Amino acid sequence: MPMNRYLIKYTKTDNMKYISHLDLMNVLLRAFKRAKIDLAYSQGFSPHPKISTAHPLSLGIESIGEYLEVELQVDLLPDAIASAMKHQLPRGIELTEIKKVTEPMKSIASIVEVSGYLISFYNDSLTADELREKIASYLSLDEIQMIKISPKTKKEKVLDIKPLIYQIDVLDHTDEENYFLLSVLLKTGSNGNLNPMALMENISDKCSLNIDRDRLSIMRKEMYGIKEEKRVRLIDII
Amino acid sequence: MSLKKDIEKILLRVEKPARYIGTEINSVLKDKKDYKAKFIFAFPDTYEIGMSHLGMQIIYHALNEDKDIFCERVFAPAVDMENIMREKNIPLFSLESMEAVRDSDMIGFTLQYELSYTNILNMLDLAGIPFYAKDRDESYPFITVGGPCAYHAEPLADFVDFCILGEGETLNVEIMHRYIRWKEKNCPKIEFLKEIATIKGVYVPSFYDVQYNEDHTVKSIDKLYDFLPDKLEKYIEEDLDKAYYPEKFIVPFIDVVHNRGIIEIFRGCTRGCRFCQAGMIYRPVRERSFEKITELRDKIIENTGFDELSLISLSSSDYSKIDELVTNTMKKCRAENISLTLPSLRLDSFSFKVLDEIQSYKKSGLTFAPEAGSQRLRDVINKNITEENIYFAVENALQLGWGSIKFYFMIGLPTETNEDLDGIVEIAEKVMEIFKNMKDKKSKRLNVTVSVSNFVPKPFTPFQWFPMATQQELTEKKEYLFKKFYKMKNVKFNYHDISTSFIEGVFARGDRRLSKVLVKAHELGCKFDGWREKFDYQKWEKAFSETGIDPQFYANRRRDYEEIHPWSHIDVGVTDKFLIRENEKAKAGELTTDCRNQCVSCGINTQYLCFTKDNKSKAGNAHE
Repeated sequence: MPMNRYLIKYTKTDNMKYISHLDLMNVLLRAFKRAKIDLAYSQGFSPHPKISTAHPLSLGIESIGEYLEVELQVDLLPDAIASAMKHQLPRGIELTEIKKVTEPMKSIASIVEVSGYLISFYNDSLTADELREKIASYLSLDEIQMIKISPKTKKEKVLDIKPLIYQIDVLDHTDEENYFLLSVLLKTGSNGNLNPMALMENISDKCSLNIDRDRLSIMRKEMYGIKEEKRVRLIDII
Repeated sequence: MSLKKDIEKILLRVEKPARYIGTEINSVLKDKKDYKAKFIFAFPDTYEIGMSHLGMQIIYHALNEDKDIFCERVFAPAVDMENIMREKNIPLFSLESMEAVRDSDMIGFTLQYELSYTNILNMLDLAGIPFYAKDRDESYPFITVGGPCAYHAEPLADFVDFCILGEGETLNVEIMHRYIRWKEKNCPKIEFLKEIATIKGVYVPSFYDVQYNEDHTVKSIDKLYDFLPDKLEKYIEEDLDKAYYPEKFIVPFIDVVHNRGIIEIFRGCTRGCRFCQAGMIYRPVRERSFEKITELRDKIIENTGFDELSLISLSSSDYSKIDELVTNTMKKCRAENISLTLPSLRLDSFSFKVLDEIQSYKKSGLTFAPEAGSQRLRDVINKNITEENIYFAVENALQLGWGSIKFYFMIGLPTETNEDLDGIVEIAEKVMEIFKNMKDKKSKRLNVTVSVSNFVPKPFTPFQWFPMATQQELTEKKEYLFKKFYKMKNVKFNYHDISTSFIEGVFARGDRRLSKVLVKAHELGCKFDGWREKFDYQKWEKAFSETGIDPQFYANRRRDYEEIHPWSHIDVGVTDKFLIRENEKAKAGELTTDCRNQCVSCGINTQYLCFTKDNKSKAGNAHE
């Protein structure tokens, strides 16, 4: 069983929303190096550091619920990791919870099932109740079709995304006039994945909302796995 | 500031928005009330290219160490960003504060290569700053240039307020101090220029008047004031251990061309290759001490977290303690899981054991630069490499398991014939033969790349009088080689675009009359000329014809020794006598030794201290 394995919950907000997932990995690696926290390396011809994430976040989306797992060369207290990293992380990345993994656990990428997002968008032609009605009828469709274009073959495929949507709530509270807030739960991970941007394009189209991309912002709030048939935050899985 | 908000609104519309946000680790942000003057370091290419530039990191941190100075960065916005900026009236802004660069005190463009000049104009345009110095009133920031091409930047002379000749880590700070004092006095800009014009390393083009002959050659270059020097001298750092060097590098968030910690181990070069401008303008050699290098190295690793480190110079195998330095650094890098790169290793003093250790992380390709295909031509250009050197190195490389070798050559060199081109092909053939016959080789296959570029004669080199080969001639040479390499399996042949090199050749030895060509080229839409997919030769042809300038006058004309060059009033320390002597030796195919072995009287030691083997720098005497 691998030693010194940690599950870390972190944020990607502020200016960090402008960098890609791959770039974020390098940012984290360099931060660990500056913090003098030695990561364990894989064996073989091209050793790489043992760090991986639950699920990549698209550029442009913020998050306060990201997860990574990392294996260190030494045994450190979570608090020690947090304080060493605090001064090395750029603004927008914070390690909010750290737990040592003491029992055998599959990779978090294979455990993650659901993501919760908070979505804010501009619309000046609807009331909140009208929006709720539209969302309700959207969710009541037998099938919600989405066209997916394969990036490699450029072929079009029609998907039913209804099974990938667990929940869409229109929230009461908005800070700005004509901005609506949605709280959504979507399937995430290798067993099925719905990108929140793709969802919003689909809703905009099917509900005739004309959502302006420049006035749409998305934040991932949390990621969940399934434990004993219940949805559990990834940090609580262990 | 509302500009920041305007920028943030559009960032998600462009590719790689992180190019424009700053806030990287080790970047600096100062509050308006905390500094007295703002300097913008402007790199006239994209973020990814500019962030790989060592000079910017040095000057940026040197200036920011001073509490009265705030140095920010700006890069050429990518085309998608530029389009949105123009659409939304967002002026060119600096990365740190996201304020308009037009409102800064001074903007310094680094001139790394001539093909970046249209980007400079484009950036001024985006900033809302008039191109010509005479059109800028007291409200505009000072525009200055530095870097290698600043020694012969006459095509930009009418645009800039002053040029920095030489090394900037101390000089830039001094200039900013003078600027702050001038600012407090509230007097016109010309007073500031008059004051700094007497500082060694500062050249104010508007203070020198150029007259032309009827045939468009330079008739005279006359200073306007008595107190000005007749010849502009460069400023150099005499002691690299004492000179400022950053212990922190800005760490980009995104992937850039070179994302690594860099330590410059020495400046200058003693080899004397005749085509090489860097080898002439960066004299004399000054080494950083072993202790200083290792100290900087350790601090940079600690402060950046880079997983790659690079020791750089013009010819690293010549560093007096190279073996010790590499051994020591390899040990450190292995312990920290950092890979080490050591570019600019010369073929003839190649230490394979060392390179094998360095490259054990990744057996990427090995590169050699014979530059010319025949010994005769290599002697003409004073590139001291024999065929034995080449094949010995190849054998070693193959034995140690390298599977990929790249050779760099030039075409269009002085006295070149088809026989010399045949030599290039023969080298590739011989290398493949060595591979085929080698018994104890480690790799199953060998990929050879032959990369050929077009020789551009540069000012301050022995070949500065030489006419560049015409585009027609270069095309013929390229096709000659292409036909031969086409038949060779496992050998890839790369060449550079000839019309691009031609434009480089025009501006490298250009004069002030070219400024209107640049303005016209910009008007026609020329930008990112160094990028193959963006370079548009037809626009350049139009720019020349519409301004009535013949580009061949600059690139393809043979000059005689009596001619006054547009850069004749600039003194890099190497004498014309030396360059002429070297040019004559080139024609006779005679070699000149590495001056670490013996002084070759280039003239540099009449002004500066030269590096000697026992590291006790002594001023010598020039022979003539």
